[in-house]
Amino acid sequence: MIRYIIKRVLIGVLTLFILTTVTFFLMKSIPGNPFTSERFKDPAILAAMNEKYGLDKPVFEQYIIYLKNVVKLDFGEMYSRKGFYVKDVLLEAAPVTIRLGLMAGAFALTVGITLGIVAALSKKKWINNLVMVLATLGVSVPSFLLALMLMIVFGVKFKIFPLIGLKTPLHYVLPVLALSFYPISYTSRLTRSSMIEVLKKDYITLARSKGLSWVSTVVKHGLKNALLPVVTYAGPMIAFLMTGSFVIENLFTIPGIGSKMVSAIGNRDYSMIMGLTIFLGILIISATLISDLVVAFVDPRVKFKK
Amino acid sequence: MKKVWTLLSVLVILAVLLAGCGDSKSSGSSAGSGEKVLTVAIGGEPLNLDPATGNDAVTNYIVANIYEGLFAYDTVGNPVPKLAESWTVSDDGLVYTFKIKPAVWSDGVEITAADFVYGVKRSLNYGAAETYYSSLISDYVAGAKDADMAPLEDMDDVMVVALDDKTLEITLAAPCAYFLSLLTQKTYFPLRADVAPLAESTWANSKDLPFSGAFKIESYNPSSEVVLVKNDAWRDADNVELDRIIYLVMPDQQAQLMAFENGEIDFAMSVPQDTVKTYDGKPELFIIDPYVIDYFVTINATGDVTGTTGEQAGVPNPVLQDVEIRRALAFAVNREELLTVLDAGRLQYALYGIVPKGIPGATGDFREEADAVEHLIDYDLEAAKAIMEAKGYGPNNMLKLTYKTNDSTFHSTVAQVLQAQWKEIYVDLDIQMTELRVFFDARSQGNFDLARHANSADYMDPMIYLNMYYSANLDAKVVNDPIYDSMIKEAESMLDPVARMEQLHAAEEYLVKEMVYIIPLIGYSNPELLRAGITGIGTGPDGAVDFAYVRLP
Repeated sequence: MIRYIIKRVLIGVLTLFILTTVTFFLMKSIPGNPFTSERFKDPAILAAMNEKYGLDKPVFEQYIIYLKNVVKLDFGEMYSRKGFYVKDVLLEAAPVTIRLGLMAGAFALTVGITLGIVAALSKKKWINNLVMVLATLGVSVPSFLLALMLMIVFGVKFKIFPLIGLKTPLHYVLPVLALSFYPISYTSRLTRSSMIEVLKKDYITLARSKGLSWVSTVVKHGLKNALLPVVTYAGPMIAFLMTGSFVIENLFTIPGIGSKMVSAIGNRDYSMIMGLTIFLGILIISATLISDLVVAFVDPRVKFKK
Repeated sequence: MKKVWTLLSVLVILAVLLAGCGDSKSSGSSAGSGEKVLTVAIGGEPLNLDPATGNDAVTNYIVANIYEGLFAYDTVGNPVPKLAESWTVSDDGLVYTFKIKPAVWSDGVEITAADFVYGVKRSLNYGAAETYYSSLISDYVAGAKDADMAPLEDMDDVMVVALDDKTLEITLAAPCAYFLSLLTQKTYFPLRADVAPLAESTWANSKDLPFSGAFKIESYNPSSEVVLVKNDAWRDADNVELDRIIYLVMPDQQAQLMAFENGEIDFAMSVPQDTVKTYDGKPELFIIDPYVIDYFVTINATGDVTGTTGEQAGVPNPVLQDVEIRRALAFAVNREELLTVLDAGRLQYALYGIVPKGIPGATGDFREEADAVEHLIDYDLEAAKAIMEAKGYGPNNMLKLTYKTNDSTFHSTVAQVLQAQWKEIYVDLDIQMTELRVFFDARSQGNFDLARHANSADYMDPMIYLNMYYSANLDAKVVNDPIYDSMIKEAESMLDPVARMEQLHAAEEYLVKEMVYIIPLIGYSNPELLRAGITGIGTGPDGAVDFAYVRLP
């Protein structure tokens, strides 16, 4: 177990290195410069700016300088905002996004699993249909449309929920709903189909024929097996939610990392792009690792290779 | 099964805990206890609130309300005195002497001429490499040209001098008719040497600073909100009613619109263009008019593709060196049709020169003065066709040209209208739409036949537009005309305002009508939304806002 984790961490570090390298050179290869703007700037001023930020050096030399700094955990100063350091911005923005992502993830799993089970067990056709219609809607309606609809109905029409930022618990309701609609739909479909599948298994019939009650068969033997694919899906899903959604963060004015990424690329803010890439890399690599460990923890059939 | 629920509950608890440790500062627009609060939504993150550097529009919305200079613009772009009590100009137009009003910083210390000297020298020390706006000093003030990024002790030659505590003398390198307009720029603002260090800006975001404006910083959080409170020590504080201004950072226009309708904000400064239609005739619609911005087509008239930014190599196209072809392109543009397609109502107007409305001329508005004589360029399809046919172009021999622009609905619509209109004169227009920075690179490098251009103004003088095509100011010399250069050079040194404006009108006529180096399209403004009943927002044609005299209903 320990050896497995160490191995995974080492692979993770290697992945990060490759990610950093590839992103760095890709980023430098896109045309555009952080200092150009609508107004024509004096060519001499542009040259002075490039020199000051070391952008006149060969790309490989810039890369070596950057790597040396990153090892010291120095992600540098933002290009688009003088006096602001990438590390500080990340430390400020990341908790906001992660918090929202975790909430949306937890909400999605709770609601999704419940709906899935209800649909799978219900004898009434309309319940089944209703859940399936909701689930289909959820995977096909894009999140910005849903967010806008939520804002218009609950914000502008009925004025129940505030629309700016995440100041109070009430502020969380709409963004969490908008973020979790897709994973709710996906989780409920996954739970439902997996549950129906499992209930047809021989061991369920065996358990029933041995006289176990319907409820305890479903809970002890059915659910336990039916939820395995959901747990496997949950890891990457939560990791994805934690990396932030540009659309949702922008619409609800949430100062998280999703919106930072888009503006960083637009501004050619090289240090910010790199900082975000490395940060998101670490987040996703560790989330995947955790989710793998969790699957092994829940499912005794998964064994770590020695 | 138990394990699954354990995991889920751990997740939930974690989320709740994290939510708990979030910022618990009191919410924004709660205007309890009769406090007068204005909640403003701004369209992007403000930079450091340092007058020397923070010169983008959004940062200016804040800086202009916490610091004050000698002058500020009125609604139509004339500089009106703020900290300046009186001033004299020497006969040769070189020496300006200002008397400074009795006024104190928010900590009670007198605002002195020495503060102005420090402010100017600090901007110079920061240098043009950090803030392009310091060139608004170094290009004009005597002895400042060589002081760019120089240490303070080497700036004794910079002719900004404190004659006594309340008298400031500025000597120019050459006469400049619009110097008072330059003094509205924040690089000329006074700063205190004991609080504003050299070559550093983060100090400016703190709340315990001496401020010279109507408000003081209460909190600064650039990714979410900036709060200002009334400065009781301000020279005209008796007439300030607002207690607090909350700036919410809301990059999404749709979000601003909805938060305005939801009642969470009082003043939405960046809302979708079509708001002008949905709010047409309603009291909430707020349009800064005149608002100085022009939209035009810039032509690579020399085929120069040797600009220094960017790596894409351009291909020089000799066709556009022919002024008649350029003229045909200009004749073929039907601005009324373009406006109909863009469908932005009174936000936009047809533009017939490079200088948009809102820039003062000799007696009134520069653009209106020029248009009253004649439109420098007008729609004349028959003339355009005749030129093209005389050059041998026709339905079977189309002229291929590229038009570069960046990808946005607005720019793409303009490009398509031009494509359709130029097709009439046998031009096969290849629209190349790229992302913004890629486009900037290509344009400044000269890598285009035709490209869109749009510019707002820093100082309110026609020169800001006309000297764009002064060849030394261009990276790639897409216009390189000694006659035009000498016209601009001559205008620079003219003092008599009427003669100077005549010269500038002549230069514009040469640029737009005679040589057709650019094709003007439209001027425009942006819609904003203001809660009905709120009055007293001061605006300038550069888009600046002054909240000092706001009255809430």
